[in-house]
Amino acid sequence: MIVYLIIIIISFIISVIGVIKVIINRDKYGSKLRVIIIITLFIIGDISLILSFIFTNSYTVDNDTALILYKINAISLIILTISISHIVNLILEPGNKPYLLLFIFTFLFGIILSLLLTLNPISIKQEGGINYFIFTQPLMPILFILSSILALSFNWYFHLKNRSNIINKRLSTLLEHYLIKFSLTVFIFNLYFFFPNIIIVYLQLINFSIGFCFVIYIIIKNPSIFNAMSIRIYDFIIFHKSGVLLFSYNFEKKEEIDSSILKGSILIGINHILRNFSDKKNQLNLIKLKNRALILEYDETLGYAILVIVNIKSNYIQSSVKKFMEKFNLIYEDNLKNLKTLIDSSDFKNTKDILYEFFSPFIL
Amino acid sequence: MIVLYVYLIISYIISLLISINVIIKLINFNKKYVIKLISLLNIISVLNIGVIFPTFIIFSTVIIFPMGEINIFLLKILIFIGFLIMGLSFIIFFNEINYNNIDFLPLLIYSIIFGILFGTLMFTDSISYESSIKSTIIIFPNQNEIIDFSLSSYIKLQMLFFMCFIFLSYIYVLIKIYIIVKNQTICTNFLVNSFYFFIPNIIFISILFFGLTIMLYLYFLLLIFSFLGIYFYLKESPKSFLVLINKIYYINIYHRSGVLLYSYNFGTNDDETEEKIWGNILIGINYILSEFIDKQDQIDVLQTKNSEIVVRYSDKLGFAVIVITNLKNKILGNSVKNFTIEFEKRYKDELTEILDLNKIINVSKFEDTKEIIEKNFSIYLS
Repeated sequence: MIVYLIIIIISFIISVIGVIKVIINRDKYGSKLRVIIIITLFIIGDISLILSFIFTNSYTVDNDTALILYKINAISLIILTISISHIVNLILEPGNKPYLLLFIFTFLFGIILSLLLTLNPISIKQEGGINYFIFTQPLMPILFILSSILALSFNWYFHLKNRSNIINKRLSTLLEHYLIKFSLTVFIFNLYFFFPNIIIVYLQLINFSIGFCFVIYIIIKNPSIFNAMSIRIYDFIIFHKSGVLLFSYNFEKKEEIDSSILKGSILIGINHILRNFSDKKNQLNLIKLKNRALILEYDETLGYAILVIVNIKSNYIQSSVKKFMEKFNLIYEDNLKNLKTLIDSSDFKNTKDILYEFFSPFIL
Repeated sequence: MIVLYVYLIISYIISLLISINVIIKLINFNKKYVIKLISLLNIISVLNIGVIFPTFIIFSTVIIFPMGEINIFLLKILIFIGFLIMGLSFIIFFNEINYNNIDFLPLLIYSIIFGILFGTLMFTDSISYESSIKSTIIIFPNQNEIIDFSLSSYIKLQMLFFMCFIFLSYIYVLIKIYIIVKNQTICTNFLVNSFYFFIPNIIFISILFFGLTIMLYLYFLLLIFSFLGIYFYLKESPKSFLVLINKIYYINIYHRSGVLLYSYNFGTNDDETEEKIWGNILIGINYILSEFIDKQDQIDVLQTKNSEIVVRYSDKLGFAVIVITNLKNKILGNSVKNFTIEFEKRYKDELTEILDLNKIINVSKFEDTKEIIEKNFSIYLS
């Protein structure tokens, strides 16, 4: 049990570091809600590990308390599984809401919850200081296995379906490693129903801890995993309100584009749209096509607009554009205010650095 | 008892006939107005309430099986269907404020509560009964032969909790609709619609809690009245099944040169200069979209800060219809499509004449467009 305790302490320390890092870099995760969800999941993982130590060790608590803690742990693990599956879905298919799958998952969870609370489906067998939990009600392991199969199928289905659409291959590989880890964890967890012994207990713990730390590592090191998996930026263009091009960057070629190369139809089109520049109510913000989205943001004070062409509309991109504009305004405020007659776009040559600061996950 | 059974059977048959009629009406309605998901939920709801549910009532009370276990099982299915119907109705009404999107959190809560209820109902001793053991099937049992069911306190508590959750959700939806719509007539219509769906559910719960036979017969009576109500309601007030919060601000028709052919103000927006601005924007969009193939099929959404814009091009006759609304949706899209087809038909000659950009455009020729707009967008006219 000393080894068990050491593994848990290490995982706990890593998760605390993870929580602190997420809080420090909260702006990179897209929204406050997302940060709260991530921290909550870390905490649930911690609680699960600590509880598992307490109820597995037959010297720490009595049988009744151990049973209650085991049930709480089972419930928290299911919540963790549902949440992570949902997050994987959101990462791979932002905007897609799989209502039926969500209903089936949570419905099954409700059934498991009701049986855990109303029946006494679990008994304890003690051996060598370890508590082994045996399901007396055969329906319980069936429901757990069914939920596991659903969770795994759901995650793998979404990954394989969207694999070719994932722009960032490094993140795609990370996600795949996570899914393999997750599958192993689920498999060992279900193996316990059939072979409750000390080897499986330790395998469960080690596997869960490694998986948990791996997830923390991915999330800390790659905040862009929540946003950059399936979003592709094609062009980033800054126009003065007179229609003159100030800056243009092509993400696919990873280079700045001269106005003479930029498609004339886009230039002409933007010019027409910018004629209504001062009319705030009718400023076009989004043109969404089947395979593209054109996002427009305006700065009325300094008199320019930004056009970003992406594959799908994303709140993250829009908020990144706004942050970009704040920094752009800070650096080029004087240049923009003094643009009266001739406009020299070379004055804005350092815009690329600002672009890299906010959009580097999309520059591959 | 015989009289009561006769009443039960006749009510059941009437309920079946009316339900089938309502379902047919809903299917036809779907083709004109309603969004597929919600239409499907409505149809399933009526199917459950009017066909499946009453069938189970009949089989769990009018026919007594040996040992009573089958009746217990049928009663469990009955309760399951009853709560499923309530859940579906609740999802339908939530859609009214969150167009064509089922709210994540209410669905989550409903699914968990429903799962708990189902688990307790099906896999525990939630229902007990007292009856003399019979070895044959009894149809139309007499007073002594009726099975006396009783629910466990735990399952009653869960049902009560479920009902409270659904009821509070209805109140929440009503308040939210009133805040958004601010139209008492529409809210009253919505309240009446909720009443038709909700009251039979309350009676059903009363049957389960108090086990009163009279409530069972009252249920059927209310069911028939509910369906008649829904039937006439669908006929008279199609607006109730549409998005309550959907408004159109303007419909503008532009020639491809940017000239405004006609503009119709729905009176929901005070800005009088709106239509002049969009001519330029439309030309701009045209240029940008020339980069993409089949622009007409490609456009999904155009958005400004406060509105969404539906655009429909007619490349053949060189014009575009712009509808400025607070919420783009499929109903509106269909209306725009039908309007464009009718406009093309009515003004084919005039539009063909002005295909040549050198021709002078006489916009007074399109004055009768008002009739076509009022015909195709009548449900948006207050």
